[in-house]
Amino acid sequence: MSGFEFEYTLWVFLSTIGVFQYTALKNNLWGFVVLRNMPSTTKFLSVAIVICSFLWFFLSEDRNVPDTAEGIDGVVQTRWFAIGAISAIALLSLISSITNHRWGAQHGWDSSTQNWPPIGISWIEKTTFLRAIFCIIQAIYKNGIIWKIR
Amino acid sequence: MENSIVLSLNTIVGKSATLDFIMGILVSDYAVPVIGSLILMSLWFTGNEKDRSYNQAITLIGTGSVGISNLITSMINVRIDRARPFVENELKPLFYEPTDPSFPSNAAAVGFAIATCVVFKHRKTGVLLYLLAFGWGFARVYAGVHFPTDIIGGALIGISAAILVAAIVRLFLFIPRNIHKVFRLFYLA
Repeated sequence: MSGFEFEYTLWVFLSTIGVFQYTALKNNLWGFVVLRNMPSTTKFLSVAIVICSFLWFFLSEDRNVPDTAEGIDGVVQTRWFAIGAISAIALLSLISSITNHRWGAQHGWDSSTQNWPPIGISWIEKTTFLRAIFCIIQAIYKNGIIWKIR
Repeated sequence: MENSIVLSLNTIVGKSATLDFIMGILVSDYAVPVIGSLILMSLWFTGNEKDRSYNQAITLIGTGSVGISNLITSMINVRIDRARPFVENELKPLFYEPTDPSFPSNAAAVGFAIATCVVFKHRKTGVLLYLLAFGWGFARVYAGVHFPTDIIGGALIGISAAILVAAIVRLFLFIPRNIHKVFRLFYLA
C-alpha cells in the first residue's frame, strides 16, 4: 500500500464515519449512533469530520497525479474505497453497540414469548447492531430453520 | 469548433487562483466519485422500512452501472483511439496528461451513471449529482484533457448503463431479492 493509497483510504474512512453517523441520526437508526444522547453534537461532528477530511485530502498535497506514477487507478480506487467504507461502518457498529449497550438491552427480544426477533435494519432503531446479531444467532440456534423467516 | 472551445476555456487557466483551485479539485480522479459513492452508500440506510429496500436497490444499481459504464468505455477506448486535446494543442496544464484515448470520457460516464440511478427516486440529490457530473466533465474540458464530445459520449454511456442495469435487475429480480433477504437476516439491509 503506497502513501497515496493509505491517505485515500483514510480519507474515505473518515468521510464514511461522518456520512454514516449523519445518515443513522437522520433515519432514527439510534443503535448505530455512537453519541445517541447528543444528536446536535453528532450532527455537528458528522458534518465537521466530512468537511475536514475533504480539506485535509485536497489541501495537504497535489492530488492530480497519474496512476502511472503515484496516483490510484479506478480498480484499485474501488478496492480501497470498499475497504475504507466497510471498515468505518464495522468499527462504528461495534463502538455504537458498546456505547448504547444498556439502552440496547432494554429493547431486546423476548425469546420466551417470540420465536424470532424482528428482521431487517429497522430494528436498529430500537436496539444495537451486536445485540440484534446476538438475538438472531440465538433464534437460529433455538429454531434451526432459517428459511421460515419472512 | 471543438478545438476552439477547449482553447478558449483553457485561456482562463492561470488567471484566477481560486477558480484553478476549485477546478483542480473538481477535475481530480477522486472528488466526484467519492462524493457519489458516499451518497449511494448513505442511501442504503435511508428511509423507512419500505423506502429503504427501494433505496438499497438504487445503491446496487448505481454500483453495477458504474462497473458497466467503465466496461463500455474501455471497450470503445480500444476501438477509437482519439488523441487528447493537449496532444494537438499547446495548453496550460491543470491536470496530468492521461495516456489512454480521449473518447469517451470515463469520468462523465461514471458521474452520469450514478446521477441517473439516484434522480428517479431522489430528485434533489439526483440533480445535485447531475450538476457534479456536469462540473466534472466541464473541468476536464477546462483542463484540456477532454473534448466536449468526449463528455457528451461519456454522459450518454453512463445514462444508458444505469437504465440497462435497472432493466436487468428488474428482469432478474428474484436474485437480488434473495440476497436482500439474507442481508436482512443479519441486519445488513
